[in-house]
Amino acid sequence: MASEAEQTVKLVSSDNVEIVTERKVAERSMLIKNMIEDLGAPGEEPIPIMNVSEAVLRKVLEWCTHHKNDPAPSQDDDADSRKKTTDIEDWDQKFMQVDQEMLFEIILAANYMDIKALLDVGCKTVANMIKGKSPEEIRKTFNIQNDFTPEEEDQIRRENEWAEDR
Amino acid sequence: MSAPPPTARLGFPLPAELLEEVLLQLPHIRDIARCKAVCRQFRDAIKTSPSFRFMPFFPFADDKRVMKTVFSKRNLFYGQPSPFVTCINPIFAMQVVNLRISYGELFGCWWTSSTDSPSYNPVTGIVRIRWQLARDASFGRPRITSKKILNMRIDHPRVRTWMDMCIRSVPKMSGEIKPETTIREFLEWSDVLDLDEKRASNLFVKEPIIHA
Repeated sequence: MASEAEQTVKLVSSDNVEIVTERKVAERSMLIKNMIEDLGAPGEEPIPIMNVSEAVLRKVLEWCTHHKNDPAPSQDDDADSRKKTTDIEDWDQKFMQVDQEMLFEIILAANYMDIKALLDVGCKTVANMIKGKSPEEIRKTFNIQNDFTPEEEDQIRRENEWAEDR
Repeated sequence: MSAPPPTARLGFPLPAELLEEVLLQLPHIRDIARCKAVCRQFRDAIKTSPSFRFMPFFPFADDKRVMKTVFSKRNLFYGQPSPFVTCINPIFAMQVVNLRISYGELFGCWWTSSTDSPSYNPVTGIVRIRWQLARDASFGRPRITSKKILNMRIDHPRVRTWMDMCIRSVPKMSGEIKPETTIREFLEWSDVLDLDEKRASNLFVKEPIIHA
């Protein structure tokens, strides 16, 4: 029987593509880790990753492969992990240089697959895209429609007066 | 045939809980305020999030993680002309972080000193006291020393209102705090201040951190 380090698992994406990967890589996802533990026989039964397409799953697994030897997150490092939005290591920054659709898909996948570190990196990346921008620039960046009524805009402008340079 | 222009999507493509995660990463409260003006989804996420829950007038945050992030960046208030915001008093930062006081309240302090904000009602003792402390600190010539503050009883008229608010805002503290408790004891008890590491003399900033 293969040692745990050599074991592989089969994942099945939402578009029904089977991807084989190292167990250690897959277990960066707490969802998969728990499923493997529940199933008891890794590698035999394919694990469905219902909400994640093949392209996104491959991208997530790329991240997991790079980070497979990272220490497991502890319960206490919650505050530290949220230091600054600029605290994204170089490799992760490059990894996140994808189009917006993919970026959001990665965040959603990280959330679904319960990969906290990847979720943090994704959220920090988006936060960095927001940082320092005006509301209009934020809308433009993310192609968001302004759905406020003029009255609502007025109210928010009043509420936000303190935040603008005087 | 040319491709149709991109249609503006209605809202942000992440659910509320993930949008909140993004907002929590923003180090500058000005960014959070601006986000509130982006669209209803952003505004509602900020308004309904427990992390920014007291936001009728100012962006409050009771999330320690946010506030630690916010105050770890000393240029938080850069560019602001108020003496208060050009000089952050660490004791305030710690109070905010650990006692879950709003930074909106802090801003309220300098609003009262610089202008009448239509969205702020400066009638409470909380504001007056805070403003007083902030002003003392920012001009670098404190009339109340940090030591005196630390030794004040929490039922001292100058801090009582503020403490009442603290206690109310952190329900688990109710019943734990006695009138004779000093600020020092309160801070130590609530793990706000490690007095061994943070000498009282460091509680006030003598020099503005960022000049407006």
